[in-house]
Amino acid sequence: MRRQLLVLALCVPLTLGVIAPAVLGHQTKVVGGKYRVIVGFVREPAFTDERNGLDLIVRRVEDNAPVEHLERSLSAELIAPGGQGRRALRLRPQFGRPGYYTDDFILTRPGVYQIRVWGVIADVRFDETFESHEVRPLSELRFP
Amino acid sequence: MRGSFPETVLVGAALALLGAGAAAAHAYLRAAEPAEDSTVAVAPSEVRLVFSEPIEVRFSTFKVYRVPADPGWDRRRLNAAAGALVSEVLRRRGDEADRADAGLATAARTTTTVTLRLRPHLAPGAYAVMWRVLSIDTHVTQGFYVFRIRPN
Repeated sequence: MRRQLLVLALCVPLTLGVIAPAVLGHQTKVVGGKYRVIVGFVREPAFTDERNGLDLIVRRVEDNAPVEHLERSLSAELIAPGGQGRRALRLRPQFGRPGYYTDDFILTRPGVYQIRVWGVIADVRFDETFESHEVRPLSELRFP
Repeated sequence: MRGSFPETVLVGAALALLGAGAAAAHAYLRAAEPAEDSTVAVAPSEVRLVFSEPIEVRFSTFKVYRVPADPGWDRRRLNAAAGALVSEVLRRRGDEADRADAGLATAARTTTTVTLRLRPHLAPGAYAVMWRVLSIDTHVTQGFYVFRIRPN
């Protein structure tokens, strides 16, 4: 019984570690019928005034394999709530995570952000805009 | 005291997941000659790469390949083709005959600057310079860039 509990206790973080980054608060679009582009923030749920970053994931639809080496053929920009400002992002691969790309930023306004991703994956050219979940003010967490 | 194999594997995998993303300093490309996305009129005899951290040369890989590309492709399309090529060949062994480079000219074991010899008289076209490097702080990073040879 104790051994089964140990295995269960280890399986829960493993499952969350593998699945959560791809599903928690991320938006997915299929481009060219061939590639799944998944976009969200590195830290979700996201709050203002804390270090965060883009979490861009690209996988082949056919076999879910990660697509690497796209940092020079894709571009991304972050659009503030209500379109009040745009920031060009400089994509870089995430260390030790094939098919994952990021750039760093600190969100300073609460609300829904848009993330535009465009460029070329193999022979597929696309331009898509994604929406984040609502970013909440960090003040909600302050105590006392 | 010794755990069974499945438990050991699970513990190791859980620890690996917890530790992922915690790595900080890595060796990134600082400068290159020919430069990234540049076009040169004369085929260069070597490629020089400067990294942000010292790397272990013997445990790193450097290659130059010709990119199968249409002359009319824009920078983005060319980089997409080069990225796909990197995925295919960077870890390939025994591919010396297919490459545009002729091996390392750098003799140092650890260095921030690496020089690769190129084969003589490279044909006009696009070339991808690619690397997978182990920095002395034991982090592995990889990357690539493209330059073109286009005689005037």
